[in-house]
Amino acid sequence: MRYEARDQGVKHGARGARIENSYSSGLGPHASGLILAVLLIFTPAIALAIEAQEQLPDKAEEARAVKIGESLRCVICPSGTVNDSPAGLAQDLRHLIRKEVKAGKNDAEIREYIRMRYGDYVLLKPPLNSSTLALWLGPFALLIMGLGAYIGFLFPKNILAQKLKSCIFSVKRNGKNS
Amino acid sequence: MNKNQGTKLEAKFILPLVVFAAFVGFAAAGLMMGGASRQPDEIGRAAPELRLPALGSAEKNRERLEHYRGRPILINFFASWCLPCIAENDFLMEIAKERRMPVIGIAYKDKPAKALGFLKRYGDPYSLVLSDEDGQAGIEWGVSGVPETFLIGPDGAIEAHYAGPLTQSAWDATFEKLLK
Repeated sequence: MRYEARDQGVKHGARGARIENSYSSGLGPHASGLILAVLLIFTPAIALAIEAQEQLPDKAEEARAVKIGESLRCVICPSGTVNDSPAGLAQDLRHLIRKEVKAGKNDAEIREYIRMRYGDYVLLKPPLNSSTLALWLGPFALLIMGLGAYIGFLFPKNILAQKLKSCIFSVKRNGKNS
Repeated sequence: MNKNQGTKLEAKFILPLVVFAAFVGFAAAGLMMGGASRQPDEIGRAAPELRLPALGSAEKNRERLEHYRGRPILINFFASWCLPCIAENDFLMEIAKERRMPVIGIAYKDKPAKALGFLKRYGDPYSLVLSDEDGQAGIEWGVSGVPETFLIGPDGAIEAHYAGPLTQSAWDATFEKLLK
C-alpha cells in the first residue's frame, strides 16, 4: 500500500476522495533524489590538492601562493587549476610558485615565468592580443547573434520595424515635451 | 508558398548551420594542432642551463650546453615509465647515428637506476644522459610530460620544441626544415 502511494503520488480513497501525500508534488516518486543530484551538480568542488607539507610557514606568503595557483590552469588536467589538480606537474608548479614567492618575486613575475614556458593557455585569464581576440569576443558575438535570432523569431520583420519606429517616435515626443 | 518565402526559410536554416560549422572548424583545428610547441615565446630564447647530475652520479655535471655551442643538438626528455619513449628510441638511435647529431637525454622524474635499466634494455642514443629526478629542470624547459624533444641551435637558442614520440613525419614537419 505504501509503495503504491509513493508510486502514484495521489491516491483516490473511498467515494473518489483525493488523498494527497508527500509524493504528490507531481515531480514523481524519485523527486527528492533528483533534487539532491541537481544540487550536488551545482555545488562547486572546492577540494584542493595542496598538501600540508607544501604550504609556506608564513601565512601571507602562503595566501599569495594560493592566489597565484588559482589563476593558473593545470596543463595535464585542464579543467582544474594548479591548486586543485593532483597531477605531478601541478605539484611541481606549486613548489615552484612557493620557491619564487619566498625568493621575493612578485605575482606578475611568477605568472610570466610560467607563461613563458607553458604558453598563454596556462593562464586562466589569457591576455588580450591578436591571437586571443576571437576567444575574448566570441562569447559576446554569439550572445548578440543569439539575441538577434530570438528577436527575429519573435517578431516578423514588418512588425519589428513598426515597433522600432513607434519606440523612436515616443522617445522623440518625450524629448520635445520635457 | 512563393519563391521569396522559400529564400527566407533557407536563410533562417543556413545561417545557424554556417555558424555551427565555423565553430566546429575552430574546435577541430585546435584538437588537431599536433605535438609541435604551442609556446611561441620560448622559440628563440636562450636554452636554460642544465646543471644536473649525470645519470648514476651524484656529482653535478660540469658539462654545460656551452660545450656544444656551434652545432645544433637535441635535448630529449624521457623516462623508464614512459611507453611512447620506447617507441621513439629507435628513431633517436638513427638520428644520433645518421646525422651524427649530439642527443642529450634527460631522465625526467625517474629513479636513476630505472632510467639506466631502460637504456640498457632498449638502447642508448645519448651522448650524455642527465637526471632530473625532481622535475624542476623540466619546468625550466616548459616540459609537461615525456617524451619531449628540443632542437637547440648553434647559438644556444631553442629553435623547436616537439611534445610526443619523435617519428619520421614529426621530424620532417618540425626539425628537418630548420636543419637545412
